[in-house]
This record gives sequence, C-alpha cells and structure tokens, in this order.
Amino acid sequence: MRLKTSSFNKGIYFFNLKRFWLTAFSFAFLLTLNILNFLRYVSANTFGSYSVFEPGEVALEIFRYSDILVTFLFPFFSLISALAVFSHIHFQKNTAMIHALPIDRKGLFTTHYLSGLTLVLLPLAVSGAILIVGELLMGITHIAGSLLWMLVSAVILFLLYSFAVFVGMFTGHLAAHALFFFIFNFLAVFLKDVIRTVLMSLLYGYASSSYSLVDPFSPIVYLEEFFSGFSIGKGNYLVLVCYLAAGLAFVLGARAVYRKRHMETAGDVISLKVMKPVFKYSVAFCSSALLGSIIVSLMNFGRDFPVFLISYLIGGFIGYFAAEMLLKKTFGVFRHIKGFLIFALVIVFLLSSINFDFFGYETYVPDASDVEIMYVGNYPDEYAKIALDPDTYDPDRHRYLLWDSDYRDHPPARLDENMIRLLRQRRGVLENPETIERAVAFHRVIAANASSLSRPGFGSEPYYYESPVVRYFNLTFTYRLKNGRTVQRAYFLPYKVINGGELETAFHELLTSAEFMEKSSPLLTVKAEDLNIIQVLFHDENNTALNLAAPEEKAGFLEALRQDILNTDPFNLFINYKEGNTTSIEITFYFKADKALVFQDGGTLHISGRTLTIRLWSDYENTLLYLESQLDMDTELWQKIAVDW
Amino acid sequence: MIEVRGLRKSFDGFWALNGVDITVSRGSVYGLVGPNGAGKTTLIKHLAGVFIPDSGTIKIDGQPSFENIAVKARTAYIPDDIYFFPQANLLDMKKFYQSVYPVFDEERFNKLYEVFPFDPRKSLRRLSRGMKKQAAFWLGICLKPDLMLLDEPVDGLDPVMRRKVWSVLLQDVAERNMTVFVSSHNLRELEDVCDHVGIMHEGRIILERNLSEIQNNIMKLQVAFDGPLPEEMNELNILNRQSSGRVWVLIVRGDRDEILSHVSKLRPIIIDALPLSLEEIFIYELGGMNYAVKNIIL
Repeated sequence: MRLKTSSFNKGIYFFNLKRFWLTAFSFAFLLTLNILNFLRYVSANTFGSYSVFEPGEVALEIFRYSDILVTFLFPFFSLISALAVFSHIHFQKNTAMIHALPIDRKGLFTTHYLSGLTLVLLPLAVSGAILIVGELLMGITHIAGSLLWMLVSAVILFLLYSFAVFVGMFTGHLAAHALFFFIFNFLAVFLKDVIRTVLMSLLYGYASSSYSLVDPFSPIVYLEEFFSGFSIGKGNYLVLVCYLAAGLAFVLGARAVYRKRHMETAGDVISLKVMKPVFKYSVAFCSSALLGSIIVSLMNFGRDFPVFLISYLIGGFIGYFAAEMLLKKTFGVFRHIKGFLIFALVIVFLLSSINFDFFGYETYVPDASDVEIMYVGNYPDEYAKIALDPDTYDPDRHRYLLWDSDYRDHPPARLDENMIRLLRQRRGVLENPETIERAVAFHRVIAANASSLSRPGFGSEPYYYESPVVRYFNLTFTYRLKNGRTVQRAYFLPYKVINGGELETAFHELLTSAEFMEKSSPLLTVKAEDLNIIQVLFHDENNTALNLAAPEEKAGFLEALRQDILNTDPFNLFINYKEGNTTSIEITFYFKADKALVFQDGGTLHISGRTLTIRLWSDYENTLLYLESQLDMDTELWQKIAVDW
Repeated sequence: MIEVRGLRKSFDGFWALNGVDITVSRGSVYGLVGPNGAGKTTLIKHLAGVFIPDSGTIKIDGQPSFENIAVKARTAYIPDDIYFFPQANLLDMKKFYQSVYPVFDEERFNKLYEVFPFDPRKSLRRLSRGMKKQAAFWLGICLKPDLMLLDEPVDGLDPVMRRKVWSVLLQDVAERNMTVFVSSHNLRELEDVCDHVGIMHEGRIILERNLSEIQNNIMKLQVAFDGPLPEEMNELNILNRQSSGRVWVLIVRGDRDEILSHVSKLRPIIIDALPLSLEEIFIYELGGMNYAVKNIIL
C-alpha cells in the first residue's frame, strides 16, 4: 500500500500555511512597511552615495532604520509561528487527533516545523524582494548589502524560530511556551546582571566589565551589536555561524524530544518528567535572584549580610512554591518543604562563600614579580585592557580608540607595535617593575584593610562623588600576569580614609613615582633639545607673543613648568581633575620631530604631532614668574593677563 | 486483530492502566465498559498510537501500533472530544484526510449525504456536539478502515442518528470484516451491537468474554422455599441476594443447567431463571470489586 507520508506530509504542510496565513501576512506587511520606509529614506537622503556603501553598512542601515524588526517583530513572529504550528501539543483534543493520523512523529515534527519556518521566512523573502526591486528601480544595482541583510535576518529568524520550537517541546501549555521563550531569551543577560549585582554587593574589590561573552546567548539583546559588526565589512561571521549551528541543534534537539514526548502532558506546564525538578529549582533560583535583589535595592540593605541573605531566601521561597503549584496544579504544596530547605542551604552556602570570602578573592593580590604590566586608574577601562592585552583588540568595538576619523573608518585588523606602545603611554598603565611594586604594595594595604574600608552600598555609587562629609573615588587595579592571566579588582574608597596612615603613604608612593607622573602629565617628558621653539601667546590688546628659542630659555621654561606640574596634588592628577582656572596665555611647543605625546580624553586618545598647544593654569606660579621675567610688561597688564583672567 | 498484553501506564504516579490484557478478533464488535476513571479512554488512545505505554505490548494485526504508519493508515479513531481545525468545514476536513490517509472513498462520502443531514460547507466550529459527531463518523467511515476505535461514539447523537450510524458501521463489519472497538456507558446499546465485552475497573480488565457467554454465565434466579433459604444454596456462587417474604432473588454466576439442577434438588416451591441485561451484569460484577450500587439517603 502506498503511504502518503513518511517524513514529510504535503497535505499538513499546505493546510498549516492555509490555516495560519494571517501570521505570515501580518509579518510580511509589517516588514514591508519598514522596507518601504527605508527605501523612502534612501531616495530622500543618501541616494548619491548609497551604491558605494559597503554591503555590511547597508545591512546595518536597514537594521538601524527599523531596529524594531529584531527587537520585537523577529522574536514575536518566530514565537507566534511556533505556537501556531505546534499548538496541537498543548491541547488534549488536538494532540489526540493529530497523533492518531498515519504519520510517524518524525514526519509530524518535520512537516509542522517546516510549515512554521515557511511562515517566518516567506515574509522575509517577500519584503527582501521588494527591497531589491525598489533599489533597482532607483537605479541602485549594488544589492549585496540587501542580500546580506536578508541572510543575517534569515539566520536570526531561523535561530529564534527553532528556539521557540525547542522550548515548546518542554511544555504542554501555550502560555508557558510563550513565557519560557522570552525568559530564556533574556536569561543569560539577566543572570549575568544578577550575579554581578550580588558579587558587587558582597565581594569587596569585585570588578566586572560591561561587555561579556555571555551576551550572544541572549540574541535579542545582542542583535544590535551583532548587526553593527557588519557595518565595516567585518561582520561577526563566527557568531552568525554559531547562531546557525545553534538553530540546527535546537531543531534536532526538539525533534528528539518530540519523538519521545508523552502526549498526555498536553496542558501541563512541564511536559518532560526529568525537567520538572530542573524547572522547579531554576524558577526558585531566578526568583531568589530577581526578588532578592529587588528587596535589597528597595530597602537599601546594601552589605547587611543577614538581611541580604533573608531577602534572597524570601525570593527563593516564593519562586520554589510558585513552581511547585504550577507543577502540581494545586495551592496545597507547602508540605513539600524538604526540597526548599535543600535549596535554601545551597543559597546560604553560596552567598556565605561570597560574603565571607571562602575562596580568598578579597585578600588575593598578585606578587609584583608575577606582573608583566598593569593598570591603576579610576574605573575599569576598555582601552587600558587592550594596552595590557592587545589580543583583546576588536576593530568593531574599538574603532573610536583614536581621535582620528581615518582610524575610525578604517581601523586595522590587529594593533601594530607602535600602537601598542602608544596605548601603554597612557595614564595609569605601568610597565616599570619599580612602579608595579609600589602599586602592588598599595593594593596589599587595601586588601589587608578590606573589612574597615568596605561600606554598605559602595558598589552602586557613581565613580566620582563629592559629599560634604566624605570624598569618595573609584580605584581599579588590572594586572596582566606573566602567565597570561588577567586579574582585576575595583574599589570605591572614601578619600578621608586615604588621608592619613599607611594607605596614604602607599598611595602617595605610587602617585609620585616617575612613571605614573610622566604618563599622567606627558609634558614632564619634554626636553629642551626636543624643541625648535616655544611660542607664548598673550591674548592681550597687543596680542603680545614671546618666542623662546635659545636652549637656556627653553630649559628654563620647561623646568618652571615641571615644578608647577610636580606641585600639583598627585591625587588630582590621578583622577584627572584640576582645580582653578586657566589663563589667557597660550603656549605652543614646536617639536623637531613627531613627539607623539599621549593625552587622554575620556576613552579616546589624542596623539600629539609636531606641535602641541596648551593653556597655562593660573596657579602655575613658577611658569608665570619665569614668563614675567622674560617680558618687559606693565605690571597692571600682567596682572590682568596672568591672574585676573 | 487486537492483542494487548500487560499494558501499564501511569500519570504522575497514578496507574491509569495496570496490566491490561485484551484480545479482540477480526470482524468483531468489542464493547469496553467500566466505571468513570477505569482507564477506557487511556486504553483507546494507546490503541490509536497517541500515547506511549510505560510497559506492555499492543499489537494490531500482529504489528505494534505505536509509530506504525501502516497500522494507523487502516485505523480510524473517533474520540469522545472531537477536534476539527478552527474555521474548517467538513469539505476542508475531507480534503485534509484525503491528503493524509491512503484510502478515502469519495463515492462513499457522497452517498453519506443521505445519512447525515447537514450542510458540509458550514463551519464545524458552529455545529452542536451531536453534529460534530456525525461529521466525524462521516469522515471516519470514508476511510474504510479495518479497525474503528470509538470512544463514547453515540454520546450526543439522537436515537434515530444512533441507529443510522450503527447500521452503517455494522454493514462494514459484515461486508468488509471491519473490527469495531467501542467504549461506552450506554450498555443497553452495546448489548445490541457487541459480540464481545470487556469490563474494565481500576486500570485492569476484570472480565472479557463473548456477550452471550457472559449472559449465560450469570443469571437472575427467583426461588421460594417452604422454609428459610437452604444451607446448600450457599454452595452456589451468589453475587447478590435479596428477599421479599419467602421469595428470594439471587444473582448467581455459573453454568445455567448446573445451577438449575442444583436448586431443583432442594425442592423449591418456585424456581424461575431470568437472563441478565448487560447493565445488570456490569453492576453485579463491579459490586464484587467494591463498586456496588448503594442506596444513599441524603
């Protein structure tokens, strides 16, 4: 007897498309609206240059112009399609009818899966075709960018849809299916933030960076960054391939689960027996993390550990029994207290191990002899990280490293030796063993006094904060060890504590080290023989100018300037803060060759060339006295220029 | 046709099927009866290949039924709670079944217009429960299955329609040797159509036999003696006894001739043996399984 179906059934496939056409139509309609809007924007604004854009840049433009696509439409319609075509596994009536048909489960899964995939990819194909036709009609023949956008979108849709199907295999409930899909999409980022919050609250010195390898595991959150990667023709194809592979893994996983699925679980929150405890404890954990952190934050409990712990246990208690109620479909679940007690013990152990530093995180400071290079600064800095470990350089993310549009548009794939050298000239990067020793010594003093220095709520304060009572500042140590490891610690210290005792001494030792001072104030490294001339411009009525060309004049000026810089409070140099005002006196250094002094403005580096212009501070007394001695200027006028400015 | 051995299935620790054994021969009409929650629907869903058994075997025509496309292609399953695609009408569903089943008799479909008097273009969602049942039979019969699995099939059908449906089904049984496996609480109706009956209770088959054999093996005995009920009567397998004066009504299990001969020797004043209806058999059999009818005064 010829059977109409084995692994794929055309009848069910087309029937599904017919039944759920509205889903595909709505998706196609909204996508097409976005595409038409984008085409309108192209024709109105960038028609002339559009065709010369890099394909990745066009793809990013399409995405950026309608970023609602990925943040809302893609996941929403992926989920809706999965819910629609696999709705039969969530209802007893449907499941009995479908599974009594003469099609094996492999065939049923394949047929339903493909019909759902068509529902999400067909609208993309339609809107993509409209995009390309629109471009061609406008005379734009360079359609690689649009094809790239379609490819990236197709992979994302494939991933999201496959994931939605995969999630559905573990539940027998429509609402739970939708909820799990969204929860799992945000889970990685959520857990990262929650764990970071806990560690920052309990672990003195804990340092974290905003970028994380975890982010791609929450594709909806990561997508904007993901698309950005393609804008310079250097898209993150590895992530794209990983997403494709993950999508495939989800399909195969879903098919394997579907074949073994017990269809009587239709209507249950969890359809796989083995997943029930996983669900229960996962909900308890997430609830503990979420509700616990909310309670702590609302009540401002900070580092009050017992209350902190109780807050997390309350969160866990609510989550554990809510999950138990969903699984058992009854409110009478409170006699199953044993499972919660085990969970509570684990939470108590985990939080205690962090708070009481069972693993020695707070007290660990590397030996100076193990350190290859390090950074001491106000806050964890992405570019300091590259200076320490140039392998972490990513042209997509670090293209704003230099104040240079050429560099921004065409960042190199890898950093060359010269760039690494320049990066290591910036403030806070320490290479000299003697300076490293001073930094380590300072760090040891902090670690030894952790209990007295740590205060409730410090982790959540801004990086620089002035209060009438006490002055706080952020301090970060990043070590690149000789064995390739990186160790980072971040502190929030009250300046009052620093002001006195061994902490002050150790900190001062570090701040006054030659390397630290020279990198904080690169002018200290300028020598008279480096310069052709120093031009001093007084913005007075006569626009008086003074040229210092003789070696002794240049040396005299530089020495006076050096004295003034050294007289500055080193702490102000550390936080890149200078009290007082500048004068109207403008000083331009004309170098004999490119000096390449590195100045820092936020995260961006300025590299000086043959000339460098600065304004003189009004409290640079030695320099002002030197200039006064070189000029035959009326005292009243001098007072006006140098002091009353 | 159907052979089930040691079938067990639990739902969250509750054994819905606890070692079910049944044998159904080809061309028979097998009635499955049992109290609510006995496991009838669960058993039928296993036969239809919807549920995966925890243990035990299910064979249809010697082949396992689960994931067996060939077996399922020759089986029609009409559940109690029928599902049709939302928005679909009978013609849509016909098209769907035509695309899925290897056999769909179009000619039969057209002939059945005479049996089922409703507009096939009407959305099935809007039909009454009974009408939906009719639609399911309409489609099921056109599949010309070798095995028809029916779960509470006539529930919701009016008496005339019941007759019509059974008449079409029994015609198939007679002409094509189709097997019908039917679960129902309507014992009066089963009595008319079934040739075999299985009684199910707490996940097990407690009795499975040819209907006439069952009826011959249990009887209602009306007797009266000069004095009290003789002691020798207790040698019989009496399932239930009631008395009104000196007249005793006894439900006795055993061979009819042997029972009558045994009682006759005790010189009764009156002796009368009456056959039991299936409903009475059901009640008295389950009475011995802690499922007796009790007079409850509220």
